[in-house]
Amino acid sequence: MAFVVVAGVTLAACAGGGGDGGANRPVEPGAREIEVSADSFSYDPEEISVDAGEDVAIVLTSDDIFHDFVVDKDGGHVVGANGEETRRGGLRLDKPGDYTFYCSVSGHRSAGMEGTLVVAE
Amino acid sequence: MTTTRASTDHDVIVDADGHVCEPGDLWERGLPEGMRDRGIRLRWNEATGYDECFIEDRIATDRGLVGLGNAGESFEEFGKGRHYEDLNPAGFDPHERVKVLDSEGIDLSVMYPGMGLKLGGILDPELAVWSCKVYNDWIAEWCAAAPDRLKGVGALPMQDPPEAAREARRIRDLGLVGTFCRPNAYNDRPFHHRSYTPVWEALEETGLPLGLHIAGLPDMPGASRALLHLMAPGTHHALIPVIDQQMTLSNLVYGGVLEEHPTLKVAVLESGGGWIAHWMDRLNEFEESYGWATAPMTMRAEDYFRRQCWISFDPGERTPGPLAALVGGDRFIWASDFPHSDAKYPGVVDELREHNGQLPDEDRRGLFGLNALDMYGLPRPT
Repeated sequence: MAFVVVAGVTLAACAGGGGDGGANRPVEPGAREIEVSADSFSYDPEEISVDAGEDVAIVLTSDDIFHDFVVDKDGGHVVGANGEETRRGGLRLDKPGDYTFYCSVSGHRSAGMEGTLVVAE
Repeated sequence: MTTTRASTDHDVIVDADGHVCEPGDLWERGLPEGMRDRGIRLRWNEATGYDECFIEDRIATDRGLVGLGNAGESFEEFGKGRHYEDLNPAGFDPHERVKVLDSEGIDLSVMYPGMGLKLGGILDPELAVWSCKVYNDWIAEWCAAAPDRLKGVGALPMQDPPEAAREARRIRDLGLVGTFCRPNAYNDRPFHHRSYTPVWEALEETGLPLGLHIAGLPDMPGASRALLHLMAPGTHHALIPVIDQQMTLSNLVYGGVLEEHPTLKVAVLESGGGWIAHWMDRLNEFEESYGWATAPMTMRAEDYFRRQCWISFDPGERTPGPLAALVGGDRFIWASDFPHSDAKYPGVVDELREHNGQLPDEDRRGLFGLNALDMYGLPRPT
């Protein structure tokens, strides 16, 4: 059986490999929306600022193919969207600092698809 | 100087990938003073009997430099006891090189670096930029000794893509006919990384081909570094070039570089050519399964190759004939690799004719020289 490797998670090929890399996180009511567009291979904007402890909603629009939004350190998949779709995912980070967000589809991050999430005190 | 064409038939013979032997102190003399002790430099080790090559603060090669210039000779014990400066004079001296071209029956040879193959292993971008400038100035002057017979390509400092773009334009202005880099990730960034966009744009603007040339060294991310410890003796150089070139070519296709840069010319060198048809089939097929993850592609992988790439065959390969109809005989070039240890010498053109002299006229003339002329933007003979 052939296997597909996506962001270090191994999936069976017969289970497919398209669609979400994981469930989109629920969005807290009243969360500030941050719109992010994604195409191969960059985000716009590439830098996002939030406050520590603030609930936000990442509103991800994938312009061409499937992309997602994963935050390091936090280790979390926030949201993924198929091409020409918009999806929302909730995010809250309590610790101030700089984080990296990236697309976990194999080969996308190495193509430069990442950005900086600044969490202010 | 008198230039003599030794070929007795009407085929123009172009060696698309020969090599030079740079002076051992090229970078120690040519770099800005503050960089000279970190650039490429050689030191003889009396205890081991080898020239050692240093780059920055590390030893890049502790033996085997003899392989850069001992074509036709034994490479046993990696040439122990032999100094780099005593290698084949045709590597160092353009006039001696023309004599070899005459004796071998080669009309024109395009020169790639020798020690300069290590330029990709430089980590400091500023040092890389200056080191490439030193090499490019030198190779332009070297080839000017016999401009009808010797052409050169310039080294790109891919460690700094904006500077590499500027250097590409300067390479054009120096009269060089192509560019060179390693098919490896410079500073851990493979070529589908968007930071290289300025380089691709400069190469499209100048019309210079990107010569992907391996070095078979573990100094950069790639197959050698990752797999050397798993390989049986003798297999390394047979396999590493193929793996690195297949991956890099695939990255350019699935990563969208060739889609975004339709006039970027790419030469796949010193990895043999017989694998290209299988690569076409495989990447065509897997685009069906993985197209959801690749950069947007408007053509099949094989069509990108046919549109803007060439691949170099070793003279002893038997596959150009059978593959010409599948791949496109206008995509095939050949290379001597002279004066490297694995070059066929003497008799490289004889070997080329032995294995491919029976090709249909158009394919033969293309492989033997016309395709290389087209790729390098050189005029065909009238």
